[in-house]
Amino acid sequence: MLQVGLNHFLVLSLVLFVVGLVGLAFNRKNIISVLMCLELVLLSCNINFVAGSAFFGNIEGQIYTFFTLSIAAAEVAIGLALVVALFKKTQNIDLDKIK
Amino acid sequence: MYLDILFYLFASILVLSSVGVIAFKSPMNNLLCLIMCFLNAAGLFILLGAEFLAFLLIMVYVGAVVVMFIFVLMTLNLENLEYKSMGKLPVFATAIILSEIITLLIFKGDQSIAQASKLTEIASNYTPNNTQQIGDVMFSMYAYPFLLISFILLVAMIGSIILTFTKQKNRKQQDIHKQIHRKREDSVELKKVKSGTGVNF
Repeated sequence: MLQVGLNHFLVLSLVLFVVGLVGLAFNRKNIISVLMCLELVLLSCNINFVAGSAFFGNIEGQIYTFFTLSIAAAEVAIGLALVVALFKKTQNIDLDKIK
Repeated sequence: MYLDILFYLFASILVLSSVGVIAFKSPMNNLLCLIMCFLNAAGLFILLGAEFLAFLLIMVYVGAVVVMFIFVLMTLNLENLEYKSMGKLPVFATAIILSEIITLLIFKGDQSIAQASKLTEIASNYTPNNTQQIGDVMFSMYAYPFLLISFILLVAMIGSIILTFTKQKNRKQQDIHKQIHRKREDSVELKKVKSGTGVNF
């Protein structure tokens, strides 16, 4: 029978979270990469929610995932608008040159 | 058994492409890896029995968010945007993942990894599918958070429009204040014109 349990999903989402966090911490390229790493972190959060919802038999986890998805979409829209505004002002979105 | 194999497949590709998101130099390659991440996460969601969220993930993230990233990246005209082509690899990888998801949907039948769990049943002979379950709970217990989410999306929309808005100088626009405060004496002048001569302004 199936051997994949809740722990497998938790470890997977932990790995994704750490990868996203490392990308956030050591990224020195541009702001768009920072936004992408934020997406990774939110995705790991979503996987956690859905796995919990499926294994504990409670649909509310999936509803919270829905809310997280829409918040992430709003956040990306605002972030990209900020990037565009910054680029208009400084012609540059490198993190090193901005400071 | 084959669901286990599928889990490990999806999970390994997910981790590898998430490393690709932070490892590649060019932002375009990062974005392609991000698409790969979302597709594999959608496969995992289907494995878990959350089909609605899986397709929502594909539609919202791959269809809207990543396209928005690509749009901004193309618009900004960055100098370090050299796209290192990965050959036909992205095409093949996407085709494989999509065919996997489709076969999963066809052959999964009733069993998912979380088969043992019984999701909340409203009535005894009412066995809703995943989307119906989500709708039942969301529009009854979570109605106010749902409305709040719509408000947040509205604020995000207005905010991003205002942030990227630039006022053009030679735009033809009504100035209502100026229009209202215009008087007859400022603009109209009566002159007696002799016949045969013009008018000097």
